[in-house]
Amino acid sequence: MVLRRIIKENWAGKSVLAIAVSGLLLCSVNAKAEKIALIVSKTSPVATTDAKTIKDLFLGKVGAIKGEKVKPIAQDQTRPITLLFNSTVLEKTEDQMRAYWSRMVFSGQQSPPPSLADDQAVKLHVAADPSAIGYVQSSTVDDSVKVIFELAP
Amino acid sequence: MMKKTFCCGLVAVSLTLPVCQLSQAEVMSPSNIKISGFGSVVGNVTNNSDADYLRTAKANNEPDFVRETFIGIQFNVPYSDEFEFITQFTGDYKDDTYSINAEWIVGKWRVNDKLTVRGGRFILPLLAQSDTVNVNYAHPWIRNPAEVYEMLPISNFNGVDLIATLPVGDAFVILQPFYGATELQSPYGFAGVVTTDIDSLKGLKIRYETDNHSFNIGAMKTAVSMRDPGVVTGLVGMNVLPSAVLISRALTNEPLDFYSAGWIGHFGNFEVYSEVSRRDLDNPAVSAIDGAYVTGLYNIGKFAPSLTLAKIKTERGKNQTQDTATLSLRQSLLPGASLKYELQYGKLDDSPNNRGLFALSNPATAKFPDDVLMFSVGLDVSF
Repeated sequence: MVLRRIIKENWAGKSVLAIAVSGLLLCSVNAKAEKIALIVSKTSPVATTDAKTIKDLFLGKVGAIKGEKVKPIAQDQTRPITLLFNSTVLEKTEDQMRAYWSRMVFSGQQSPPPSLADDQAVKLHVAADPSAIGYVQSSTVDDSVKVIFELAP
Repeated sequence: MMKKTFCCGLVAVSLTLPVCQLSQAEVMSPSNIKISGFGSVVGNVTNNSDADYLRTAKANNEPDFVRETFIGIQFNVPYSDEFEFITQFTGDYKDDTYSINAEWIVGKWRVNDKLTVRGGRFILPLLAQSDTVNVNYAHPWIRNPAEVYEMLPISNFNGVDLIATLPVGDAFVILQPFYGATELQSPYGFAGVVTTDIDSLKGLKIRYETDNHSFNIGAMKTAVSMRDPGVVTGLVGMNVLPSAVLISRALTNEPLDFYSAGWIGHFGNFEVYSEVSRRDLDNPAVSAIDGAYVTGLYNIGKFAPSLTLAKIKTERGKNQTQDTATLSLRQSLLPGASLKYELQYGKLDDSPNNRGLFALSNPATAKFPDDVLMFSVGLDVSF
């Protein structure tokens, strides 16, 4: 009650409240952009990697990590994690990704990685295939897979 | 002869053995065939009625939405992780004729992570955008700059190439030698069709790629011969055809050289595309042509305005010296679909008999314009 009266009578108070609410909203938005984990099978010989190798792998420029052959698995292009992965790791917008893979496919060089529906589908696929590598939200990682790299967008 | 036949058979059998060892289920399951495609609907109109502008566009002062419109479809059939078969066809309507063109019929062998060998029918991989010259969605322009891309009369050839990808620090060096042959069928007025044989086509493309830049150089050498369709000789003798047709009788294994260098750079939202090229046929009656362009593009959300400055200059033969400036706007509609608008101004050099990038729409008209303004709009899709 008291607070309501203060805000009603005091424009500065209204401004402070607006800023506080904006700050809370901003914090909540940032909290949603959680870490992305690059996962492989528990039996995969790959233990670690780096951001440059992941970028080259998912753009079809290389097919191995430290000599071990790997097959990248992506998620559906419309999923927020894919948009985040593409912009953060591959440094490309949705349109740039489309144009890039158009150039690669129609020049006979490469096809894009297969896409699965969600984190759960990626985990199941990766757990069953020692040569597969995929990306999921860190919070969904469990004992069925191994994390070889993690990045915070 | 028998020994040669036996050796060829042995080579053919050894190449097919890896495929034969695969089980029936592994070879060509319908679920493994990937189908993808691309296409463009392009309209163009100029402010000139005397001559058609640009070889492929054939633009004049009557709006046209047919000549540059086409569709392409590609089939990727993987036999295994190492072997793949790729076919790509395009369909268009040009010169009052529907046609389907085989752009790619290629067997691809991925020897290892760094080496790929391909054999069959290709698009000539000489220029920066050559491999995807038909895929307008992949380019910033409605059509690739004619000053470079229309100077090479060959688009496809039959042969082999090798792609070696070598990591150098954080960059890649890609070496792509190629070898083959092809032939062109060109209508020549009412003399019928002139066939041009292009033999011993050998070339090399080298690319240096980092995350944000790509530099390429290309070189090609070949020999060109034009086959006289027979009726040409008689018509020349009767003075019915101009003496320029004598070129067809003079070209026998004439060396043709083509060189190019290019750079594509990304600086955040800003992109640069540039190339220079030189085509030289060792014949005094045929032009040696230098072409160049530079494009600056800026990405603003779904829009990408750009400016292209281009120049073409000839040393002998038909004078085609011209400067062009093209203002473009690309609008992304959906993932896989974009709309482009272009306004191009071309100014011909004052030197005599300069035809620029025009072709006479009416052979009886001898006058080429001094300049041209062309407006184009294009809808590109990739699926």
